[in-house]
Amino acid sequence: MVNPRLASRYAKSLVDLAAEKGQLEAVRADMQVLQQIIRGNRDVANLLKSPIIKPDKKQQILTAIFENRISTISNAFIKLLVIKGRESNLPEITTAFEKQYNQLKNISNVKITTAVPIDAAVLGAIRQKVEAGTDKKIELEIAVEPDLIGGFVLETEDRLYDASVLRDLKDIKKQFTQNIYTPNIR
Amino acid sequence: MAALTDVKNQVGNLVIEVAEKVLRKELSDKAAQEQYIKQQAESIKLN
Repeated sequence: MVNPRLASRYAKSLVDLAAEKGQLEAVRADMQVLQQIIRGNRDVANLLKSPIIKPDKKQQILTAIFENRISTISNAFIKLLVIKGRESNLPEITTAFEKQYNQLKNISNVKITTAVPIDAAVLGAIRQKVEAGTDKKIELEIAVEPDLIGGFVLETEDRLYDASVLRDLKDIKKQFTQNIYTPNIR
Repeated sequence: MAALTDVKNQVGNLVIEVAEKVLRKELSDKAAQEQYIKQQAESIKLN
């Protein structure tokens, strides 16, 4: 069950603890590792969600998987989650952690989608434009979507800037399908 | 009137289909594509 409020609470406690111990970067790396493992491996995701496997068994498995890969804080955190029966929320917690880390470090994630892969030079130009608009550090994520035909789409945290040909075509199409001289209600 | 609207809509759809094909062809060239992106990036306004 997805529970965003719970996820953000647990994530906040982890952020606070990590910041207090001065290990924010390490814990962040751990969270990224966790996210990768959970996303890349269905068995792990299923294990976390499974109501049949006993908590102590889960703890054993999770320790076996993660012990050497992540720091003590993160290990203790996972143990806490298992004790509290919240291990099924771990994926959301890692996402929430990332979000809060970005907020703390004043980083804004920007996703840029283009029709074809583009050069670093063009990317740099767009990056400059985006950076000029905010006082935050920009972290670019690149995606390719041939359906766009041309141009690009920028997605910042809560904003979407659509400069694609697909969008233009859609806009025109909309204008054509709107029949201003026929009544909508008969 | 209804027939006229119908014709208008059909013509509109045709036009867009053709336009899409032309644009796809125009922008299939990588240089043209990047040129277009640059041009769009110039006009970007994020607030």
